[in-house]
Amino acid sequence: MHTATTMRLRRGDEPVVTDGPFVEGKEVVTGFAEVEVADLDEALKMARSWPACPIVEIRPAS
Amino acid sequence: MTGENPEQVSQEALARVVRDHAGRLAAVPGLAARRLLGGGGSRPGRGRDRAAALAGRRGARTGPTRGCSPSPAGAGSTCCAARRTTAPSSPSCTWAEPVPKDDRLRLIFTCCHPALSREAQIALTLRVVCGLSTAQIAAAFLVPETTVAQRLTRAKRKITEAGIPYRIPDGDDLPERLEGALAVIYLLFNEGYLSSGGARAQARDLVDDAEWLASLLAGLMPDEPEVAGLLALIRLHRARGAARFDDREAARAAGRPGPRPGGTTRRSRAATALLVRAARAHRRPGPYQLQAAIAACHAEAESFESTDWPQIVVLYDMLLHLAPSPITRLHRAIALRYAASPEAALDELKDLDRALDDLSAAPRHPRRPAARAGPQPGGQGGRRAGAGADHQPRPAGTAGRTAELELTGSRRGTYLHDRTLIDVAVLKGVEAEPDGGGGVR
Repeated sequence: MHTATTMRLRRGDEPVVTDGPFVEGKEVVTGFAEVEVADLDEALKMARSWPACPIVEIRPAS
Repeated sequence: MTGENPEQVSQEALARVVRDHAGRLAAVPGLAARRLLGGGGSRPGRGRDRAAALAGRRGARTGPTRGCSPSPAGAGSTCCAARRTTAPSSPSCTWAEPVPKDDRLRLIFTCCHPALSREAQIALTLRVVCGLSTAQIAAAFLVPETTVAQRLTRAKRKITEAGIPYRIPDGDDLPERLEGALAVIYLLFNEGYLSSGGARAQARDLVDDAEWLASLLAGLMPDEPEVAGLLALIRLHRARGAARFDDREAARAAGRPGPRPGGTTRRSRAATALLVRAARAHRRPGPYQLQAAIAACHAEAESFESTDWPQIVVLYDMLLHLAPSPITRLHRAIALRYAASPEAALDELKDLDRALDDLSAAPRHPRRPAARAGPQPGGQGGRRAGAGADHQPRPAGTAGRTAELELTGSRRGTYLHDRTLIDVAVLKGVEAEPDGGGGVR
């Protein structure tokens, strides 16, 4: 079972947050970042502001 | 609910719900939610006892807060309000509109976090906020109980491990959570509408709650036509329900809706007007508006036969476009039977068999009885199975079977699939009557 959450930014629209990892495997991973946050909402708010990152998958780090 | 002072209604409704459901709401909804969602560090399994103990202690100490009744149940609701606002991990929310007076509406939105799958959101909310049992949730989703138990376990695990906070969403976050919230209210209504035996009063409370939550939400979100659609749908079902259930099943089986108690026509008309206003103002059809429109067609009909079946077929077409489901197709087929012909409906049903079979493993779905040999009393107005009267020899097996749709509206026969509340027809396969040697050998 997964603990990932995916956020997709849409042009001019609210981003869509969904349960689960990003499964369309043919895409290229363009970046990786480890952040320290109080909860998932903070991570989502942060990711929303990253430039040129239309799809972000967020996973909890142990 | 119309014409009453909303403040008074909210106080009374909240007090009654807490009083009657206090035990089922896992002691205190706010605490239960926080325990599950990981705020405040309560250890799982001990939360319930701690919640109960806290409820007693705090209730005695703090007294009633705004919006809570001073009845004995007030102790529980006091604790809920007090505890929640002092929780370190939930900052005060900023809502665009006035804060909803009902805590549960707020909690429903909180539990519908998009990082959870839609089924998980709904199952979790129904469990934690509305207090439904696993069995009740399983019946709502038409899945086995074990599936629901798994969904709940996974949801809780995801909440803990991914760090989903128990935080009341800001005004901006509300629209994305609306779909989940609407589904929760709808399923709550459905559970109250369908539940039989035992707690009749409890069922009525669930239905009252659902209608009240929907009307509260409609007031808060006037730009969302689906909310008005849900409210209209609930009110239309309630208005019709009084006419349909009780001892009127015999009339219904004969194809007539039965006498309508006075006042239901007025309520139906008011609900229909609400629907039409919302639909025209926004021109954004959605599943709840469409289902409400179908219910309105039934409510307006003078008699079963004079129901506007062609309009209903069109509405089902639109509904299928937005939310395809085998049960919706079944109901469209039934409407087609009256709008067009039994043969047209039977053609539709041929494809549906397998899809419906998959659903019949779920609780509450009536098992379709196996084909029965021998004469069958006719369905509508004494007519027999369509092609059975022409005395032609039939090949053995399925191909030779003629199905007659027999509409039996009954309280137990009402289902929910996904977000669709529809009256299900019990589909009976019958052997064509073996007239003069035309039967199967």
